[in-house]
Amino acid sequence: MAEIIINDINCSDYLTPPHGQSMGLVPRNYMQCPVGYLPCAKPFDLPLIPESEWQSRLDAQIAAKAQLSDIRNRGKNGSPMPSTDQNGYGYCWCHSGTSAILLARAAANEPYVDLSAYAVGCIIKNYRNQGGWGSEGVEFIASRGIPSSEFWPQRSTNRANDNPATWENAALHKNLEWMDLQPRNKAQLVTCLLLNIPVVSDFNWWGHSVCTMDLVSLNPFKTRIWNSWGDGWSENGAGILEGSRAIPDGALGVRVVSPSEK
Amino acid sequence: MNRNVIQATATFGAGCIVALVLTMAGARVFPAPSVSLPDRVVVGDAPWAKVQANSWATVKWFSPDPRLAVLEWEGNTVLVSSRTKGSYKLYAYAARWNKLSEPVGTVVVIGDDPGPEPGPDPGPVPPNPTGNRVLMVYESAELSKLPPAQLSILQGKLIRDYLEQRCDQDGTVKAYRIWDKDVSTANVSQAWKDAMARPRKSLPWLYINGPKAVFEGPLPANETEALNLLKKYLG
Repeated sequence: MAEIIINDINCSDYLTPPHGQSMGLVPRNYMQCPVGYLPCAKPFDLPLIPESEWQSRLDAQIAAKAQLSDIRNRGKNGSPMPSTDQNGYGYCWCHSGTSAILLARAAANEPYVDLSAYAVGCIIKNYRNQGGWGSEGVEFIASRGIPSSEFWPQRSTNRANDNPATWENAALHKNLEWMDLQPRNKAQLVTCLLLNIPVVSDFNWWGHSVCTMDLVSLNPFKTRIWNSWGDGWSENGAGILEGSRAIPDGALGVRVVSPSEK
Repeated sequence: MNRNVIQATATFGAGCIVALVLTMAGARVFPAPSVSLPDRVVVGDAPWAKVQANSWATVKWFSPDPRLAVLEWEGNTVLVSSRTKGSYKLYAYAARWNKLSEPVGTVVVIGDDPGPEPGPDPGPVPPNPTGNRVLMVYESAELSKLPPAQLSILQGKLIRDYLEQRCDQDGTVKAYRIWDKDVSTANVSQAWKDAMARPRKSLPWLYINGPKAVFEGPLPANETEALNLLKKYLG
């Protein structure tokens, strides 16, 4: 399927998820949860890449096949890492953080692990089909980690999954260091993408949280996001956001990945 | 005593004193010559190149490889040329007042420049028996300051494809990792703990554990240099 491009003109076409899918973003309240409120996610503090360098760096990144989508496409033993699939539960805000971890691990050449985002949502929301925001999921991931599907099967809401062995495995996949970006800050977003830092991105206009992978172009401004609607959506589960639709209302970047053997 | 004898004795004595003083001052009056050369001279595809030694004394040249032609030009400059592409060692020493300097060497590159010498010797670190393994370490806080050419080493397909070919299998992935300096090694194997524990003088840093030798040093400036270095140690 051709890569979907969502922009100001057609965005209303995508406000309803495909059949069987869901979104689940509850907009982050920055009065209650200001930038840097999480111990695991300090305010973004990287030196910004000057805008004058954006185009040349993007060109170099594309020429070197060095974007996160390139890494994703061989991140599972040389094959593409499969997209996560929230399968109708409003846990997008858990899947976006999980996708970011998968990409950060692949960038570091860590072994691929089929991480189960449902574990995050089920525990936080006590198995209820409820929404949240990206940093809510990140906070859990930094605290308890994400188990592999070997311990918490994908899309499972079985309470039996919640056992010591699961959380022992999940602890291998804690990601302890994140960066909390300023809301709707394009320069911080672009800096992350040009440095291959995956960004957990909350889009209030969409009611959805996804992982932003790539800067695609500057004029028009386009980013590539990794959605959590399975590989059947758009092109292999990834699509393009354009213009103002590409600037997240809430965003966190992976700062330091936590390596593990499995 | 005969006056002439007295005079001759005095003259002789004075001469001895002068000779003694001159001998003692010999290190300052007649210092040993020295010479220096550039680290490398890249001829490229040009028919010849000049190599100039920096010395106040007369410089003598020699090359252990007969394929490198060395022609004295003027002063302490020679012309070098070869029909065969490659890297050649060229040595020089300085001579003055019957004193010679220690020889110094340079690398003359005929044809494409394969990149600088790796710098530090492999040193006393023996190859790790855990096999072909590569670790790149960087500081995430400084990532945006790295030149794009260096970022390509950390992120680009060229280097990763090579590492996929040459690094040993390490569980389900190949034995190369690209880590921030602050990662926790609590959940990795001992081989990676050991690699990460190695001292680093700067960041970003490259560690190559090859079959015969280990390289530890700054990350090269670009993919070409990095690839040449990796091939030197991993084959």
